[in-house]
Amino acid sequence: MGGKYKLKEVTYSLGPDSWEVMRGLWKGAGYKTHKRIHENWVSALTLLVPVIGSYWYAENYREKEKLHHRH
Amino acid sequence: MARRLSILKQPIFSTFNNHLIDYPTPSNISYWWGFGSLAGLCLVIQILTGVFLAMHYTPHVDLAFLSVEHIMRDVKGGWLLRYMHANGASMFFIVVYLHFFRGLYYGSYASPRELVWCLGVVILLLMIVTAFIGYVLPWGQMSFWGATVITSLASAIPVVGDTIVTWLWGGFSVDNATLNRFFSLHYLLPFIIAGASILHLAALHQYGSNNPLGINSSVDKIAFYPYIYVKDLVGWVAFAIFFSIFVFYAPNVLGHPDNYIPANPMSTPAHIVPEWYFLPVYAILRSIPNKLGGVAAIGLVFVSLLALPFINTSYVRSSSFRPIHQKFFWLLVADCLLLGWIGCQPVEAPYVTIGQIASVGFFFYFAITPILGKCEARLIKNSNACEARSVLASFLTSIGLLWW
Repeated sequence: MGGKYKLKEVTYSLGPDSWEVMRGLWKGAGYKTHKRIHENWVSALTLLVPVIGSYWYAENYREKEKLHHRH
Repeated sequence: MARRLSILKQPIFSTFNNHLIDYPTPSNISYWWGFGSLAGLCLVIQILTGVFLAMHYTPHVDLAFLSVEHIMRDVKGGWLLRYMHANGASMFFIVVYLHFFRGLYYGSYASPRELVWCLGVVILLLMIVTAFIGYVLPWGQMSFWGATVITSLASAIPVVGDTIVTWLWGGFSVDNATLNRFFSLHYLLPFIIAGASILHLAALHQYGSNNPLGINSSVDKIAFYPYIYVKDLVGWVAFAIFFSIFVFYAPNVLGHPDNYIPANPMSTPAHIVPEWYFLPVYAILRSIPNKLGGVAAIGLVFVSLLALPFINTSYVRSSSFRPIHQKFFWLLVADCLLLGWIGCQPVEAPYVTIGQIASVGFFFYFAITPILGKCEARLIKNSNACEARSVLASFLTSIGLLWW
């Protein structure tokens, strides 16, 4: 079981709602979102471009095929 | 911690306590780490609903389809059991795929957790077999023809192929013997998955969980209960909502309408499509025009997954600190999505070409893994920007050569 670790002391006290930690959930939401986008936009592109690009290519190809057979 | 119930110190309970209550967990693990326990929940749902469905199901070619209808119409709560079981399989795969990609992103397969990863791949394989034979049981058109197509793949194996197919079928076609052995195996395999999951957990708990930073977290551990338990619970509630939407509002959206037609060996459906969770592998199979080549490619998918911890050369685990790997990871995700999409398209242009490129792309990720780790190690070593650029150039050249 991962050896013997000294676990951090746990204090059983009030529930999370009483600690008012939820109030901090939206704190700096704008900054956090901006930071996320700024740091990950290249990764997002590497995910989206091949998927959307391939789908667009396939649709375009099929449309051209259809028109080719029509005329 | 100071006050602990004495019952938890007793032999059986102490094991339970050590692994599920006082288990030391890294304090920084995120919600992505909740998919492991969620997969366990899915397995429990599948076993429980499956056991109750088996009480009303009849594994006979003349009665199987009707017995499913009987479950849906006559058995009290039968519709719920069946929809939970059918959609539960899809949910199980969604959870396991997310669990898998989390492991891949954060390098959870890297030393010393190779065994955890390999056992995970074995569980995935068992899941695929279980789900496949489970889909045959309703004895609809897609059940019958899916079974015929997939079991026939074994005939591609030289010399013994045809014998294997006859042995799988229990005769000379997919028939009553096939349905009976599939039912028997479908009941057995989930318990083997449960056993493998316990081994997976035992192997994990030997070295402890990985964390988003991918570093040794021995100095910063917290007890599983209540901290991680509460975190997992958030995931369970979110999952319950997501699962309920499918079960109560769109129970057939993930299935195929042809499976509501009784199996007819004299009428082949226009498109034989497997369940959505098999589509990426199915796309790889179809991308190779040779039958044996396709089967070998499927084998290679699982060999690649099993080999991943051993071909990995990176000293850094988490992709948060591996910017180049991070891009390849997202390309792999895109590639798998593309393969999934291609798997349900007809075999015609341009889908064939896209499928073939995506199949190459899938294996390309595993081919560059050893090179990537070494290149990143050099980049870290050489902080000089100019040298870093030259290493990057040599890396890109090697990728180009490999691709060529």
